[in-house]
Amino acid sequence: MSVLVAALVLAWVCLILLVLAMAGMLRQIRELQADVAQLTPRGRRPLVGRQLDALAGDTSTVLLVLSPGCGFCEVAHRMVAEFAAAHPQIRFEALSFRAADWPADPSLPVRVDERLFAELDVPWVPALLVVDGSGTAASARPIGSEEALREQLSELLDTAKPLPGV
Amino acid sequence: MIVLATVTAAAALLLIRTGIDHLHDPATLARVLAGPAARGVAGRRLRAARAVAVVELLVGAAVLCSLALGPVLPTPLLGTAGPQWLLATQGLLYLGFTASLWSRYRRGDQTDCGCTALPAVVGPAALARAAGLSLASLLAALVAPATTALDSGPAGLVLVAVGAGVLAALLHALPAAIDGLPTAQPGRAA
Repeated sequence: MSVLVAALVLAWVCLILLVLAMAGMLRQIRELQADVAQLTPRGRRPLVGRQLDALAGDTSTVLLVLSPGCGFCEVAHRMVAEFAAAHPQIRFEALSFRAADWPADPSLPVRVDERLFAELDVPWVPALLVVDGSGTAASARPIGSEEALREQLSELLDTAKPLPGV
Repeated sequence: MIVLATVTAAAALLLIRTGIDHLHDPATLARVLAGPAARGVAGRRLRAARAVAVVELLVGAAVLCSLALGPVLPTPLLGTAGPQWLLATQGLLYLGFTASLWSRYRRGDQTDCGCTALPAVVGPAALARAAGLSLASLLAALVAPATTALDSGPAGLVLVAVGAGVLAALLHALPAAIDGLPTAQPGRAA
C-alpha cells in the first residue's frame, strides 16, 4: 500500500470518526434540550386577559399588587391609598401573599391571599392592575417609580369606570 | 502496513495518555477496580490503580518507540520477537479493558468508564474503541512484526506520526461524544 493510499484510508477513518462524534453530540444536545424544557418552570401566561373569579365584582377594581419584602411597596401603598381616598368613585384594593405593616386604610383594603397571588403570577411587584367586573385583568403594569405611579393613576381617572351610585 | 502502524501508534498514544491520567487521578480507576458494591476507595485499590497506570504508560511508550525505531529497543530485552511481544501486550491490555467494559455494560453500569480523565459513560463507543484497538494491536503483532514507520520512508513516518496523533485525539473524545457523560461516579449511587 502506497503512502498516498494509506493517507486516503486514514483520512476516511478520521472522517467517519468525526461524523460519529458529531452525530453523538447532536443526539446529546437534543436530549439536553428536552431535559431543559422539562426543567423550565411553567411559562408565564399573559397577565392581561386572565380571568380570576376571586376578583370578580359589580364593577372594575384597581388592584395594587404588593409584597412584604419589596422596599418600594410601602411608598406605592401610601400613594395609592391617598389617591383612593381622593377618588372614592373608583374601587381600589391591594393584594399581598402575606400580611405586612402597611397602614390600614378603608379606601385601600389589603387582601392577604397567597393562593390568589400565586394564581395571578404577576411578574413584578409593586404592580397596578385594572380588573373588570368579570374578574378579567384589563391592564397590568409594573410600578417603577413615584412619577410612573402618578402617571398611571392619572390615566386611571380617564379609563376606570366609577362605582355604581357614586 | 502504514494504516495498521498508524492505528497501533494511536493505540499506544492513547495508552500513554490513559496512563498519565490514571497516575494523576488514581481514585477514578480505583473505584472502577473496587466495583459498584464498594463504598470507599481503599489504599490497596489506589496502589493497584497506580500499578495499572504505570503498566499502561510503559507499554504505550515501548510500543511507540518500537514502531518508530524498529527493534532497537525491545530486541536486547525481549529477543528478536520483542516488538511482537510489545504489540501483543498492548493488544491484551486493550482486550482486558474490553472485557471489563463489556461486563459493566451488561450490568447496566451508567457510571464513568474510567478510561481517561475525560468522563464518559460505559457504552458502545468505549467498548468499540477498546475492542478495535485490541484487534489492531494483536493483528499488528501477528502480521507485521517487523514493520516500522521508518521502513516506509520519511513520508510514511510523517503520515504515521500525524495520523496517529489525529486518530488518538479523536479516539480520546469519541466515547464522551457518542456515549455521553456519566450520571454518577463508579462505586457511587447516581
